Amino acid sequence: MTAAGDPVPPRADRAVRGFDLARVVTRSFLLQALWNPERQQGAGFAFALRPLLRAAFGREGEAAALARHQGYFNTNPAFASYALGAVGRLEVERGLGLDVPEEAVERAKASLGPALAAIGDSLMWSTLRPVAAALGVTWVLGGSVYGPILFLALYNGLHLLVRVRGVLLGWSKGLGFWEEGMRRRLRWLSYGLRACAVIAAVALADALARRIAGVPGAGAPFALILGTAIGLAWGENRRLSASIAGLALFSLALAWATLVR
Amino acid sequence: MDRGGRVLTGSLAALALLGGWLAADATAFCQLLVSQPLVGATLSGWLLGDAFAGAQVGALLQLFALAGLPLGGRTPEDFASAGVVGPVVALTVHRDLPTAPFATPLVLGVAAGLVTALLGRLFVRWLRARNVGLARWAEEETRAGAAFAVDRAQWLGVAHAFAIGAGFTVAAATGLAVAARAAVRFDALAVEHAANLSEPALWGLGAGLAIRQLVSGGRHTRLLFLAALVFWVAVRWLGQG
Repeated sequence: MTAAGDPVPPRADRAVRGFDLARVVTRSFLLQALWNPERQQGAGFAFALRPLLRAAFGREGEAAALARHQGYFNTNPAFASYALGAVGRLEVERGLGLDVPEEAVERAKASLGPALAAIGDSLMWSTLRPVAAALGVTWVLGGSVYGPILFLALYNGLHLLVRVRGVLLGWSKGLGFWEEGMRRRLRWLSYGLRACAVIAAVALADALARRIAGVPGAGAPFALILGTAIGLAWGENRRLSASIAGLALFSLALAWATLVR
Repeated sequence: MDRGGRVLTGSLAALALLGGWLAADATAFCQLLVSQPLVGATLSGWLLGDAFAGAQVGALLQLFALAGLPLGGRTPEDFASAGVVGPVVALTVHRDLPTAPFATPLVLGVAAGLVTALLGRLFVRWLRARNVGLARWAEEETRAGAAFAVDRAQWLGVAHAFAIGAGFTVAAATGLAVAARAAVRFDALAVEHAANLSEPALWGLGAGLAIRQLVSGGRHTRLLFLAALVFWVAVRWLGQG
């Protein structure tokens, strides 16, 4: 720590090269390599942060800093990049002798994890993934083999942007990245994605109606509507997997086909 | 060996690599969502010579996959392996029944995929339990001053995910393809009839699950969806008139 009269330590930006931040970004893709029920993303967080810890503490102090970061941590894997940038900055400032206590770093991790998980899971898993998937499936139902490419492009366009920008913004602003402007932008992104979700849902319904219209037999539309009703109601009971419902439908049809004949 | 069997054995090595890659992508490595069944099944179909057939199986599996969210400590179903196994079964059956409509291979492929997803969850859970030991080892080593242990443990985690995914995918693809072919040979008519009956219901079930996810943003989103649906039906109806 610095005391009164000590020389002012160099700024964190000068201690860390762009190459170190690039390595944090690439390492963040392995955040969940050791995902486990005990520490969840803890080991991955330490692994991704390693280039900044080495820049801050050198080869001698690096192992001790890594050990501190292997405890429990969990958040949305894409939005974890913001935490990596901000916590990395705190660690580098600590390494340079600024007055950043160890508890402050722990507190930052403990508060950023759930906050980023709430926004990240809602955006990436609950909204963006279904929207991209529904549009990809719609393309396949329309006869195009490029539906999967559309899905990957739509999802990864935002996913990769968040991964890279998260580290850079977290690094440049520290814990200040979680300001009102950022929250407002994420809110607008969420509204936009929800509007896209409505369009994707209607497009999916349209594509399925067209497909089933081509199926011979008068019972097909009835079966489609019955299946849709079960699917819409299914979410209420998440203990039983939807896959079991699908297998049960096929088994019933097989039993019916065998018995009737 | 007959035609369907040759298709399966000839591509087993490539399918193992694909299964390993997708299993790693699902959690351990990158998470670019190549492991989602829509993508995985298309790649699997492409390896077996019919990418579009794979994409159709993957599209239906994808709708089921949307019902499960990989949040918190929940162990998700293994739709990465399901995406590879589904098209293998579908295309094996399709080559045994070349004159039947694609509904039969599609439904059998999707059923095989759903079984794979449910069974694969056990392997995902096992892998995660193994990761506890690896993470503890890395922590002990770093406390003892060996910083490189973190890197080694992480890459071992990826390698484990790849190996378990590759092995499980090949085992499931082989076992379920053999079972599906046996069922078709035992009573092809009953299987075809059952597939024709259940295909629209399965699409409906998948669509219901997906639409539920898509409009889960609150009452306003659901009302907006209903309004858009009514508008779309009216436009279609007027267009036909």
